[in-house]
Amino acid sequence: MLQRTSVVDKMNVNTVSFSSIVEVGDSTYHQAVSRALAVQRQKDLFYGNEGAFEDYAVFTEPIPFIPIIENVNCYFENMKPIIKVHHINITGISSSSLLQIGNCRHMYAEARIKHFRQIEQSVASETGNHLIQLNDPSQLGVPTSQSPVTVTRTDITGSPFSDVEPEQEQ
Amino acid sequence: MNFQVYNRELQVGNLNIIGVASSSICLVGDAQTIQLASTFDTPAESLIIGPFVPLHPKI
Repeated sequence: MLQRTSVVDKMNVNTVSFSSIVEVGDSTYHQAVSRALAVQRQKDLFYGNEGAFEDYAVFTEPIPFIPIIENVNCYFENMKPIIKVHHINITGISSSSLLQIGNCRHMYAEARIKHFRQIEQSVASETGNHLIQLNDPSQLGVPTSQSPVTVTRTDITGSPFSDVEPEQEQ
Repeated sequence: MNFQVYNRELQVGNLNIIGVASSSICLVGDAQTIQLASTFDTPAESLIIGPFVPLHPKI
């Protein structure tokens, strides 16, 4: 086991970002963790210091792995000593991901992501039952400057953001 | 239980991948154990309709 050689003739990777790894060669352990708070707002308004991972259970809850109780006798026979790939083309490797050419004994990786979506009251309204009623489609094309909802400092007075100037509205 | 694997020839022409993301792995080689976990939370209460209130910051 783990005795085959990987042969890659050509490799093309455009972007490697957010603690990702491109490894050529063997390794014994690989451990990676990625955490993300993903906020989408209808208006481009972001404060930069928002959010704490500790506030959300998704970042702390244990991930259960069911142990293998049964005794498994493994037998591997590698009849060809080479794994051959002619060309690898990857546009992006992101968020603690791995591209490895070679063998790795133990690999563990986890990703925890929490999503938020904030939509203006004027465009959509809650109808209960977790359903959203979209209003007149013509309202969707309203330029932000004419939008009936304005986000000003008064909205956040008294909050921990009182001294934070929101980014310039478009 | 007996688990027998015969690895014969493995030859790949082109691998074209748009994205490897969120603790994913693209491995050209052998591995003994692989454990991948992902929790992805987009519940109904994540959809906030109303004024754009910022998330509580890191203290």
